[in-house]
Amino acid sequence: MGTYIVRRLLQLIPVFLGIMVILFTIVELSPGGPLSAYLSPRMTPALRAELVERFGLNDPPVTRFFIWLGNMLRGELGSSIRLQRPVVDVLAPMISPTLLLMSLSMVFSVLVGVPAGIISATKQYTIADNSLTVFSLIGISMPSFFFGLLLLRYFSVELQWFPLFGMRDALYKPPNAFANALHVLHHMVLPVIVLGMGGVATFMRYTRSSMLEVIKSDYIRTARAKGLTEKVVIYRHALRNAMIPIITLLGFWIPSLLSGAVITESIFALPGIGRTAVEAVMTRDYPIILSISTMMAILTLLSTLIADILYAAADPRIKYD
Amino acid sequence: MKKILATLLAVSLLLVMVAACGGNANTGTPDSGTPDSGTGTTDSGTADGGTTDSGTGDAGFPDPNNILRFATTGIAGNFNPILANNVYDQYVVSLIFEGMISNDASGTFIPHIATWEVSSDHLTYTFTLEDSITFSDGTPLTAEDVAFTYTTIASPEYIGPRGYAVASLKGYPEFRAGDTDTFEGVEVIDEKTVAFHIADGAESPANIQFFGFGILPKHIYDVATWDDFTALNTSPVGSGWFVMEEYRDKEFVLLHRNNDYWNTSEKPILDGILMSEIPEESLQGAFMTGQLDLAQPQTSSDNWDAYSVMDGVFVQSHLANGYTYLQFNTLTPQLEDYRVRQALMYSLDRQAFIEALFGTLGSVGLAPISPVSWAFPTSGLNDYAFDMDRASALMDDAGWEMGADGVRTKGGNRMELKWLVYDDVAWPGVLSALAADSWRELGVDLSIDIMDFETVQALTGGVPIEERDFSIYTMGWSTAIDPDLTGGIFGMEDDTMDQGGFNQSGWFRQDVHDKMLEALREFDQGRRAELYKELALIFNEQLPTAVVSYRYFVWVNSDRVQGLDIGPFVDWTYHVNKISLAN
Repeated sequence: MGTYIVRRLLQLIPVFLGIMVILFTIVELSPGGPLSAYLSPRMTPALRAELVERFGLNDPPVTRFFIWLGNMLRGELGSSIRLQRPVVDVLAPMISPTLLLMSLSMVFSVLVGVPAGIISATKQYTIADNSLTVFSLIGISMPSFFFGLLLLRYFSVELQWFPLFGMRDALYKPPNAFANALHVLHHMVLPVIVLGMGGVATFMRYTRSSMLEVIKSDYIRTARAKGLTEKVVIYRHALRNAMIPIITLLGFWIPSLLSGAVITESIFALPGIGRTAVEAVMTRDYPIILSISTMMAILTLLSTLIADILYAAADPRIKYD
Repeated sequence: MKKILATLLAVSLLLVMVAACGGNANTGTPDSGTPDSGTGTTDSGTADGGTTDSGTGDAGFPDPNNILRFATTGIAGNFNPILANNVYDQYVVSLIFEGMISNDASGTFIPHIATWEVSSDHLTYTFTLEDSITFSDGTPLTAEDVAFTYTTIASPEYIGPRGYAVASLKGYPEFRAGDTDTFEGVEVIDEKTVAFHIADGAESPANIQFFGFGILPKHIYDVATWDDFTALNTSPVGSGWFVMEEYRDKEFVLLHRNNDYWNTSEKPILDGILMSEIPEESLQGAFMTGQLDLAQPQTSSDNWDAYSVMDGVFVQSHLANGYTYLQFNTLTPQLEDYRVRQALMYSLDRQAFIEALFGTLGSVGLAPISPVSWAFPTSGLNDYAFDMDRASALMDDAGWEMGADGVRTKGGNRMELKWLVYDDVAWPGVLSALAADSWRELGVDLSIDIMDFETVQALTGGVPIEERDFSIYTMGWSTAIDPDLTGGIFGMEDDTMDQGGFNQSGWFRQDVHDKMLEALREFDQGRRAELYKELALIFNEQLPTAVVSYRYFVWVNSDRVQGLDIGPFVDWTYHVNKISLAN
């Protein structure tokens, strides 16, 4: 197991470098540049040329790639061109809101999706199964921005149960940390439902098919033959085995949560990596785009690795050598 | 499984705590919020504090009910008068900082914290500061601070969008290049007096507009490196009506009244201003639920209709000082003849376009000067009202003959046009779709390329002539108060086209160039107006740049807002000290 992890980690290095090359090329090929914010109709070509020089945008792409890669490996993310602030300062406050949104959505997806999948599987072809299947299809196919606006319209404007925008009310002064956490959680309810909805549907489908497969296997028949109650058969024997593919799915689901966060954060005006990324792309703020993409690449690589390791831990039949 | 879930839950809860308490909220300087707080704690301003006794005598400053709530989208956090480059950052800047001059509702420049005199040769502007101006930290604002602000823009380290403001000052090129340590253009005469020297030949009535930038306190902003300077962007200190209380990136900016504002008779009534990030889609909901006091929704007849029938809000509009335009690449064989450009405008039903998108909140564009400007010519301009016959005749005159496939040709060239459309806003797409229909009838083969704004800008500006691969694109902008046309999109000699200046039409005429310069240098406003009328007539006939429309801005405020004063030349921050909230 130990050697397996080390080998997998070593394999990540060339993959990571490959991603870096592709990332840089894509950003390089996109038309436009980060200097629009500085351009005004009154700016002379000389002033413009001077700016290009100052930001080092004159060097050939290959030179800039190696400068950037070197900086990145040393942990120097550079400065945002549009904001003239270090990338670290721009991104640092954005990380925890996004992680919060992602992890709450994940919990929501699992807590709702897995039980729904179990019900669906054990009560196959009943009304409950059919309606859950319809629900999951809606959940998978509903565009999240539309779903989000729908929820806002009903729960924030009509009923006013949940806030309409933001992660906190700037004028609210919480008496203590617990009240503050509740305040933030209250703001996160709708975003979490929107971001988690696709996950609920997906986890439900996977759980259902995995459960159905397990329930039909020989050892379940044996368990039933032993005279075990249906409850024990389903929850002790079937569920544990059916969960193995779901664990892998958890790992693969993280990157899609991150891309979903882009839309969710925009609809609900939450601070976060997603909105920062959109703004950076629209303004071609290279250092920010590249830093976020690199973070996403690392997160994706690590989460698939963790999924693989968890898979081995959960299933004794799987051996790595 | 349980363990994984438990771990996830634990992580989430931890993150709630971190996200809730943490972040890097930039709280203002310690003295900004509650300078008179009895207990000295920073949270004493809450309603339950009761210990505060602010300068105006009201207990519990700031009162959350006396805070104006304003909607923003895309605050960047460059809260520095010489760096801010979007409209919302500019609002924050104008609430916190004060410039030497300002302008009134008619667009006339007026003294703000300084009066000025211009020498008879128009080369020296001498400003005299008002008495006892102080920054919000109590330090006096002097001529040194003024000189520091303008010298910083001219300095070799400066990276920002305001370079043009000092470019006409004496000695700018040498100072900017680092050849000398003294900036000849700015001269401190005494503590309250500062003189600016214009370079010979650069005298113009337009020069006055460069003296309205907010003044930076030298003792705070005079730092070692440029990075140190920009690091101050999120914790600004100025002499204005408001001070920064809290800034959270992508969430909100909270400002409190500057209780020590130097001019006691002009002190604001509001306790503070909260500028929250709210997406356009949620604006109507925010007004309906009473969470917002002021916003500028997108100009559209849909928005106007929705707010007009909404309870508890007031909606108003005013013509903007700006216009949207359609740029022709006149260097292509298809568009080099002005009659072709005229034909294209005759066959584009702009009246229908405006009615569909903006209703009454727009009018057909005529010339590159807004109707709100004194320089706008009131007569003699062609509005190119929709007329397909006229368009066909002009095409025929220009020698473009209808081919068998329904596309006109001339000398081996087909009338093929490529329109770059950005979809960040709706109107360019709508306009190009309208053109696609009627121009086909005219014998034009139009292809529409849809992309984002940044890409349109990249493919049209800063591109050498031989690489320009477009026929048409559209954009819109706000213009400065002064109607000066030089340096813009209208063909200047020094806007060297092969280097890719802003003259993307590629159209250049020496006499027009000279006339634009003459108008810039003319001090008699009557004569200037005549010159701009002549220029407007030329642009209106030649159409290197066709002005598409003049737009209105829409403003919505809750009923409790009183004393709001908004117009084409004065935004809501100009007289924000007069705004009060009825609760």
